Amino acid sequence: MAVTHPFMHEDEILTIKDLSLSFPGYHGYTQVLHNVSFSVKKGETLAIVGESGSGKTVTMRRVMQLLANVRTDSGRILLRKRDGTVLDITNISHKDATKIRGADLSMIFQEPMTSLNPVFTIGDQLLEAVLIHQRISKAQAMQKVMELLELVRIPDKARRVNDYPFQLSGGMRQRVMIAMALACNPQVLIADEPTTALDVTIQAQILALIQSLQEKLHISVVFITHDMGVVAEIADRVVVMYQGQVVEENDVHSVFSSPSHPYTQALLKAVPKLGSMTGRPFPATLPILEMSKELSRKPGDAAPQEKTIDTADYTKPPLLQVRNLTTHFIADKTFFGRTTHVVRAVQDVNFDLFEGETLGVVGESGCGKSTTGYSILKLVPAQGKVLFMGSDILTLPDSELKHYRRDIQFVFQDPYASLNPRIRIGTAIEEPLVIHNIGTPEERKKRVEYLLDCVGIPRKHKDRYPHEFSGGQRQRIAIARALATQPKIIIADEAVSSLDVSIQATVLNLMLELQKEFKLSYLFISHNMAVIERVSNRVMVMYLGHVVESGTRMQVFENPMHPYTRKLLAAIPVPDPTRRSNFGMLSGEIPSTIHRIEDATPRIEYIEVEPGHFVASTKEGISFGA
Amino acid sequence: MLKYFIRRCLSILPVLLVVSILVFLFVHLLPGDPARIMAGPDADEATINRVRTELGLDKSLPEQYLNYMGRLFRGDLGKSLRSKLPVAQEIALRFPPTLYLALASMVWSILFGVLFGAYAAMHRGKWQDYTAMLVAVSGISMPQFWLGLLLMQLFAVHLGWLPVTGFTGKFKELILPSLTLGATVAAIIARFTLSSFLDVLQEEYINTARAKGLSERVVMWKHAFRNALIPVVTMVGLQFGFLLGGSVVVETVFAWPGLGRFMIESVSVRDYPVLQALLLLYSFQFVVINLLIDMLYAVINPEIRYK
Repeated sequence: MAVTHPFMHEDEILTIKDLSLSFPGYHGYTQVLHNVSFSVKKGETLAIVGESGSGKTVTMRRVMQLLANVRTDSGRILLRKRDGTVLDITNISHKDATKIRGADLSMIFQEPMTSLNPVFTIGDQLLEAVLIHQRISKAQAMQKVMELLELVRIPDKARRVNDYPFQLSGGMRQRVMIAMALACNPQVLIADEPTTALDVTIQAQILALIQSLQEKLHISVVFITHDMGVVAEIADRVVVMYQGQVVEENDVHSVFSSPSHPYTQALLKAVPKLGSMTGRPFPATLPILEMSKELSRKPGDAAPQEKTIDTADYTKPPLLQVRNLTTHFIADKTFFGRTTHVVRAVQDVNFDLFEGETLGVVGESGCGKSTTGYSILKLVPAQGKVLFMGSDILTLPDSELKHYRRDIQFVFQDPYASLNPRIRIGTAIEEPLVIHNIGTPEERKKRVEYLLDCVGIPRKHKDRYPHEFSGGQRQRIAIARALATQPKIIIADEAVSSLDVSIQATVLNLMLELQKEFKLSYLFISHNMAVIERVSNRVMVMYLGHVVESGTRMQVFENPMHPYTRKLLAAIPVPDPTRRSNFGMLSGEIPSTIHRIEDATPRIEYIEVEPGHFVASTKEGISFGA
Repeated sequence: MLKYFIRRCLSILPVLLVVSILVFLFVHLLPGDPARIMAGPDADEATINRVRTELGLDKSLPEQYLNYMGRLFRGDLGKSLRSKLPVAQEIALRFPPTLYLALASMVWSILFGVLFGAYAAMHRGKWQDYTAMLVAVSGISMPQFWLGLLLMQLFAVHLGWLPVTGFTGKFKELILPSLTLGATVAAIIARFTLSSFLDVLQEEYINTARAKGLSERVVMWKHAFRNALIPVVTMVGLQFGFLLGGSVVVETVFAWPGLGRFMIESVSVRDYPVLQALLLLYSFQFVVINLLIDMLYAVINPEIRYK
């Protein structure tokens, strides 16, 4: 007996109408949401997509009444209860909010590591959720808990139910979160970036799980994400948000095939699409400008073009040769200090890096890709050989190592943590020059200005502090600092991973253009296969500390031979709703790299399947790591 | 968990050894000659030398240390230079009053401190928060002798409900001094609980608890409370260590027969055996309390228990 309502269609469960919100700040209130309106229909998956600061999370947290100190300037939030009555939940009391949370609307969050209470077992936390809205005995509730764990496919649930959150992997915790959110059969599940912090193979499993649960339980899902690939994979309808406004709302196919708003168009262009480089031998920039320029571009203006980057020079001997690089960390010791367990972070890694070349290193968390980067500069204790311009870096004394560090520079993932907040950016860029005693103060000043020009930061900003810049600008500053000593090699460790896609695209373009200008070699470390495909000449896939496959980008991406490479490629959500993948086939966790010290290392041999294309293989065959 | 406890227990042994050496050296570095003091102001060189030999002070420092530790293990801490009574006996006489005072103050301060802190956190930015923290800051800033005198004036002199000073073993006598001593500690704990609580309330699992539909009361007292308590436990332990050392001010104001006053008296007359024993006792107390805190940690925080 659905009741008609002036704002709400009969098939809608949740309607947000004209919502404007403000947050208090140092100078009074700042408006963060501007007249946001959209509805969630019964049984659909609605994706809210946008970059950081777009207001996607704030909107749904406001619906759940999870925001403190927020001022609601206008708008209404309406919820259709199970019996068909429409409830205005815009300004309900704490007490009434608790009746709706869990029962009608439930929410899961981004960080599986922090969204479960660390001091209670997952069984206790699930039990609590079951008992909130249902008057049943504890035994019945416990049975319901087991059913929920079964529903979200937690293996060995009888034992797991007594585990504390820290004993579970990220993927397992997110399953527990989903189980908890479903404990009271809500009408709407709000998932706030639930897979962003997970590895891609685990993300695929969680996406498949949410999809199957939705079909089974007939619930509506609101999926908040920044990832266009995920949107294409699971959404029925899409709401695109930009700077606190809804700029586009449409069904998923229309959004991808004929985006109407310039922001959506630019966003889709900024996403590196897996497979877009098929058949092309050289890396290329993305055909996009900075977002503000994209949005102000008039229809008649020339569209930005892709630039091919063909700087790799294979005629000279390699710049860097890495042989049998091995890094172990101590994982556990006996009481008397004898090591019993080690983490085999990097095991017998070999590769060459040529002048002007980008070698992409890709893999999931714990595969050793970052440690490989650190090992090359002896930032962690490593064994093996790292030959750079004829000398073995790993055997050099620290005094001589300094000289080589000048030629190999790092760009790190987190632009917020890698710049000292109390040092002006000009000084930060100049610092490597001071350390290596390069130039007079006057020359150094000129160099800093030149570097700022290179990375597109106005010269006059050199006396500002890092907090005055956005994440993308900070990463540009970090790149300028890395370039200060005119290095030959830059190790980019997830350098664009924490940036929004539109910013990521411009920083990638910058890096590629700088490569062309300065003939740089990049060791480009990333978990993102699509980014790796875009920028790399050659690719190395790592798994559990080993290289499982390496070759040119075309060889690895167009003819993947190792089962793990194939699995990785299959798990990536492609931003094209007509090409939905079947994630159902993926299962399993990423195993640990901790071993007892006496355990033998697996004998891995490499088979050259075509010239330059190597695939790892053990005695048992090619199956290692799959 | 048992393995963790045994490991922690064993690990304090080297700490205790180092502490005992430091205490020993420290006392011997103090200016003044114990033999001269013991022999009295009128003694001649021969008497002083005889006393020095008797006390074993003519031997080398390592030798003296080993002798001292040997006697310590037999329960012999030497004799007080002042009263000529065994030091162990002197301390045993004054330890219980200090312990009672410390325990009572601890109970007050944990009760009030944690409640005030938690209450202020739950009403962040409202009048309850400001009032609670105003009281807390007053507690930290008010000198103990002043607060003690005020309480004494009101409850003992004016109203006559409680005795003015002294301790003969009655609970009534414990109330005023423990409140005075506890006020400072309660205020410190309240501040600490507040900041710890505010940190925890930022955590995503608090949103998870709310999103489940739990009432604000359960979110606060079940989900936030236990997590917020983990850092507070360390604070409480450290404060207890200080209280066990005896408070000079409070013990003086209330004529309390405890260790704090004893310490001051012993310093003024250079009673080396007593000082050495008291310093050892204080350091051992701290080490043991820290051990207990570590174990309490394991009980509160499952992550430590399972490592």
